[in-house]
Order: sequence, then C-alpha cells, then structure tokens
Amino acid sequence: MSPTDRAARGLPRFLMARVLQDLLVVVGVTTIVFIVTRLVGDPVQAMLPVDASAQDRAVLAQALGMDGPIWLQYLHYLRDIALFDFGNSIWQARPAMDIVLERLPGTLTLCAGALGLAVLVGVPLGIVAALRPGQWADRISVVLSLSGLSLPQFWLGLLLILLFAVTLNWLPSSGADAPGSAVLPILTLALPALGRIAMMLRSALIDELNSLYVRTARAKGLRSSRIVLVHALRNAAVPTVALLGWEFAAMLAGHTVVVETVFAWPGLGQTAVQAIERQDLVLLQAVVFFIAFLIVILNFCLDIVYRLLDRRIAV
Amino acid sequence: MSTCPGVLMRLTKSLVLSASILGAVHAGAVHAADITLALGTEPSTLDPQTAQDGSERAVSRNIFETLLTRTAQGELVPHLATALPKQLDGTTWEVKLRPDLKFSDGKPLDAAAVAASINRIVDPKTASRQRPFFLGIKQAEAVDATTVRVQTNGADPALPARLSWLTIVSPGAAADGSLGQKPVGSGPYVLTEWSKGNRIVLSKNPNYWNPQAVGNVDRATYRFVAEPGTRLSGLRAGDFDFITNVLPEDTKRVAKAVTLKGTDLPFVSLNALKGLTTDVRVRQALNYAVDKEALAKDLYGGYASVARGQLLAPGWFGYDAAIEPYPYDPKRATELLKAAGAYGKSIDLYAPSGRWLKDKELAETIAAYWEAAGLKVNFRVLAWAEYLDALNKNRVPTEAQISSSHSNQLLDADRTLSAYYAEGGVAAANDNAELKGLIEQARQEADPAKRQALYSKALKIGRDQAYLVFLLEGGEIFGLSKRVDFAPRVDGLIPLKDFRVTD
Repeated sequence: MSPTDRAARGLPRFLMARVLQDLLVVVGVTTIVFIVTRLVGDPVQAMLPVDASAQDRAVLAQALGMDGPIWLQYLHYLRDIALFDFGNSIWQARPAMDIVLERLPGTLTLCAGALGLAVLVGVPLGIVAALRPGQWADRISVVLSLSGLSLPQFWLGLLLILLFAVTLNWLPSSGADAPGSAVLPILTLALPALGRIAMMLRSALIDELNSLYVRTARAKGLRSSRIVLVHALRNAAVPTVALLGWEFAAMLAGHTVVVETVFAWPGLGQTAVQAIERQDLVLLQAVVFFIAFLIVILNFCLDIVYRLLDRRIAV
Repeated sequence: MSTCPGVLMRLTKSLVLSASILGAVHAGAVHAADITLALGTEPSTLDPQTAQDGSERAVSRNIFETLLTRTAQGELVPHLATALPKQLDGTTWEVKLRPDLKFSDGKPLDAAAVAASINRIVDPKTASRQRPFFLGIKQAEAVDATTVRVQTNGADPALPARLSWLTIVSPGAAADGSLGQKPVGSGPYVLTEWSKGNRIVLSKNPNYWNPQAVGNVDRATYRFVAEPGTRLSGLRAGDFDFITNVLPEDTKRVAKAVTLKGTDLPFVSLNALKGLTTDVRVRQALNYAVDKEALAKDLYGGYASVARGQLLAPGWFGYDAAIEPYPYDPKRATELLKAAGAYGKSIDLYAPSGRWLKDKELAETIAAYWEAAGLKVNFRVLAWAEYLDALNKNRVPTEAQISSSHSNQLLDADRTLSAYYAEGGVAAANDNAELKGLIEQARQEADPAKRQALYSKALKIGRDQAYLVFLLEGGEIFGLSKRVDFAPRVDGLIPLKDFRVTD
C-alpha cells in the first residue's frame, strides 16, 4: 500500500474528527463571549442617562431580551446561533450579521494586502540575510525585522500618519474614502508580520544551507542560485507557510482591532471596538463568532493542505 | 527624430493632466462651501428621538428642528413656534406654530405633526433613551392647523426647556420606521449620503424656511475617527476642518481650539449618611482642601474654570452667580478635620476611569489634596460599568464618589438638583428635608422669579452643607482648521448653520 493511498483512506475519518473538534471550539468561544460580555456590566444601564428611572430600565431590558434569568438568555442565545440568527445589533438596530458581512471586505483587504506585502518584502529579506549571515545585509534585515516586531502598532500607525499625512501630505490621514487610504494601515499591519517572516525564513534557510544535501548539491556543481531557490528554499518554506497561516489569523483576530481603530478603517476590528464601547453585546457576539468561525475554517483548510503537500504528516 | 518631441509632448500633457486632476480633487476638498467634520463615533441612527448620544445629535440636529431653541448664551427663543408657550392652566400649555412650514419631503409641518412627534417620544413603546428629559409631558393634541396643546403631569415650569430639546419629525417617516436611515425633518440641511462606517454627507436644504439664518456651508461631510491622535493629525493634515474632543495638551498643535466652559461639570458626591462625611465639617474640609484653580490650569490646560459652589453653569435656569465657591484653604481644611475628630482617619473615594476627559487623573489629584489635608484616602478606580452599577444600586455607595462630568442639556436646574441634591436622587445621599422640599416646590412654581428664588435657596443649602465637592466648569474642546469659524453654544450643539468658512 502506497503512502498516498493510506493518506486518502485516512482523510474522511480525519475530516470527521476535525469537524467535531472545530464545532466544539466554536461553541466554546461563543460561550466564553457570552459569559465575558455579561460580566463586564449591564448594557441597559450604560445606554440610558444616569438618572433614568427603574421603570425605564425595565422597559429597555425587555426590549433587548435581557430581562429573563441568565441561563434562559444563554439557551436562547445558543438556539439562535444554531439557526445562524445573531439578532439585531442594539446600537444600529439592524441584523448584526449584516453589519459583520458589510465590514468583512474592509478587514480582508487589509489582511490580504498586509500579508502580500509581508511576503513580498519579508521573503527576499530573509533570503538575503541567510545567504550572508553576519554581513551588512543580514544586519540591516535583522534591525528592520526587529523594529517591525517591537514597535507597538498603534504608535507605529500614529507615526506613519504624522510622517506621510501631516508632514509630507502624500496620503490621507485616516478613513477608507480617498484613493491611497489603505496604504498606511496595510503598512502598519504588515511590518511586524514582515519581521517575523524574514526572521523565520532566515533561520530555516540557514539550517537548510548547512545540511548535507546542500553540500552534496554543491559538490555536484549545481548552480548556487538553483540550490538556494529550488532545493533549500522549498524545505525552508514549510515552517514559513505555517507562519503565514498564523499571521493571517493573528491579523484577523487581533492586529486589525488596533490598526482599524487608529486609522478609522471600517472593518471588523473597528466594529468590535465600537460594539464594546456601545455595550452592544449582540454585535460583539456576532463579530467574535464570525472571526472564530473564519479562523477555524482557515485552520481546517491549512490542515488539509499540509496533508496533501507533505505526506509524512498523513502517516 | 520628429516623433521624439511628440512623445515627450504627450507625456508632458498626460502628466499635466493627471496633476490637474489631482489638483482638482484637492481643490474640491477645500472648496469654500464644503467642510469635513470628524466625530469620535458614528451615529447609530439619525432618528433624533430615540438615541441619546452626542454624535447622533451632531448630525441629526441639522436635519431636525425644535419648537423652541436657545441662543448661544442659553436664552430660550421661539423657533418653529411663533412665541414661547403660553400656560393656559396648571397643566396645559399652548404653542402657536409658524404657518406654512414643510418637511423636506414636502409634507406639511403642522400642529398634527408636532403633536404626533411629542406623543411619539413620550410613548414608552418608542423606547426613547431621551425619555427621562420628557417625563413631565403627558400628551399633546392639535387644536387647529397651527395650534398645539401640551398636557403635563402636574405643574411643569421646565416645559419650555423640554420643548427646546424635543425634535419634530415627519409623522409619515416615523410611522413606517424609515426615519433612522432616511431622516425627514424641516432643518437647514438634508441627508445626501450615508455610507455606513465611512461618512455621512449633509447638504443645504434648498427649501429651508429661514435661509438667512444659515451660514455659508453648502456641504458637510462627517467622518468617524475614534482615536484622538488620528483626529488631531487629520486636522493638521487638512483632511478635517472640525474635530471633537481635543485633549487640553494638544490644543497648542491645532490652528484654533474653542471650548465652552459649563457643558461638562466634574464634581464629587459626598455621602452625608455614612462614615466620616456625616459630619458637615468634614464635608466642608474636603471642599477647602482642593485647589480648584490649579486643577483648571494644570489638568485642563486652562480650558475649565472654578465652579461657583453649585452644580449648575452660567446660562442654566436656576444658576446663581452670587454663590461663593469654597476657596482653596488647606489650613482651614486641616483645622476642620481636627475639630471633627477625623484627622488621620481614612475615607473611601470611588472614581470612574476612562470615560471622561482626565477622569482618573482628576481623582488621583483630589485624593492627593485630601491626603495633604490629613486624611488617608482609600482610592478605588471603577470601570465604567462597575461605576454605573454602583450608582444605580446603591446611590452613593461610599463616603465620596467622583463623577467627572455632569451635563444637562435641558439647562434647567430641576433635573440636576433632583438627581444630585435632593434626597432620593440617583447620586444624592442626605436626609435634608428642607432641601428636598425647596426642589419639589420649585418644580411646581410657575413664576420664574419665585422659582429662581427657591433654587437660590436650595443651592445655598447645598453649598453650605457641602453635600458635594464643587470643582470645575469644564467643557469639550473642539479643534478648528484655519478656514473655519465656529463659536460653541451653551447647549453643546454643533449646528452647521453657525459655521463660517472664511476662505
């Protein structure tokens, strides 16, 4: 029996197990969100003026469906999610999922742009650094990567605005209206990822270049560019591709929250912050559920891709 | 050889063309009659009757109008009405409307539409977050095309003030639920575009009934920028002409910064029923111990001034300029604490954090002043939700609780004093029957002079009994670009018609 057959036979069972696991993850995340959002406070109080009467609060609580016992609210919540009904946003008084889907392209634009930029710059940087470890090119790329990694994104974003919008007046300072609006948020989002990708590729490539098969290839007289770009890079790419999946998830579930808020970019991250500020539990639950759902799907696809690419994982 | 100049020419032409297109885009953005305003948040709805939030008001109050309005200094004047409301008997008021008013959809703004608007906002089913402002109103009815009668629950001398805050909406749009997204009002501006998450664009209402009152802003684009640093940068980069909530320390970096002291009043509620603060000498000491002028100057960069020993601001009904603030007198504070046997004892102080401008810093500074006077301060910072919870469940749960901001858009003492002075109010903790009596009497008093006298008396008691630590008259700071002029108003509204573009 060839390894390919074995992998193909194992796939359905693997898929079943993964789907079950992922369902558990989604239910777990939604439950945590439910508990945490109810721990932070009563949205009804936050929405009314401080001197509102108890009767006004009761009326609003009933209108929001937040008047029953907490376990009953939870059961209703789970039932609604199972039906893919996330309810109406308290803040905007329209279906929360509509808002999420409306904001999704904005966030995906930023993530895709940033990931593309990080790969386009990070990969050559990593290769150059690995080829001449300790030399000036390596040092420059290490400094660049480390600064990308260690600058807090909100601060980096504000600095970029100061330079490119206020001082040079080349790009819009915020928003998604004008052409070029996406440049600064993408740059801000890309820099730390770029640093991590360059560093990861650099160390993986250095390992590969020191390995026996590379020495053999050199002894055979293969061209250096072919050894690096075809043989070593392909092997060094495996952990880097895994990192890319992680970067995408981290952008989606965290970094866009900061970057979209700093740049007033209408995406999911900004929506999450607004939902928290407006105590809009319904919208917050929908955003978190959707992001969790996306990441679960992303991981699921990545797992399948790995199994198909590298058959050792299937055994 | 002959093609070479041709190519060059074409290249130059296209460069010039693209430069001029870029230039045109740029010129469009700074055209004299267009302005861009950056708000901290996006309105949830443009229905002016349901939400209670500043960014919704900033936009919708240009589309909708009220029967009465206020001058920039706070004086009530008729607007859609021809005169101030006339009181017919204890609980009935009559308002006369201007004739021939129209909503922007062409429907008449008549007495029936006004009565429908009033009845809609007081209807619990509307679930208006502004309902606490209008609890005094029972219902309204149209007598004829331009006459509306309003019934109040008991005497309600603040009714004119309430009507200055009650927006008149098109009954048709209100009934079919489209008002929030497609607002229909009678105001000087109409909604042109709402791109959710990006911008709201208003343009001049060509059929406005009072065009000479409107400035030279033709089109206003509202953008929503939560991060103060980004708003500031946008103003400095020329992307915005107006930004909200400038931090005091940033005011030097904007072309113009304006504020109106009195739209935000920080103070400390003291609990006269619990712990050390049951002793009036301790409460007075807590007032003497705080250097209000230093707070205004150092913490708020001079964009605040010392409150006149009351929780009201100039321009509000009931405000009494004759009341003296407690001077900063740390020695007197220490003496009073010693006389009351409180010197060296500990006091609880709760404060919210992250909600209002400098709330945490304010609380820390006050705690430091009290420590300097000879108290040990158990200082606890509460998250906003926790703070509201404490407020709603326990009134004033501790000896001292900071509220970094009080604002009262009705500009009438009743709401403020009922909540923060009178026994039973949300953040009042005393058992002073005389004070409560005065406030209740004033609520029923129709004669403005007599009503003012009652409030002056109540404010004097509040000051002398030191039920609060009176701090500052502060206000939100707005940043303006060089080409725009705007003077803040006592009621905190930001009407586009008051803007002047100078270039």
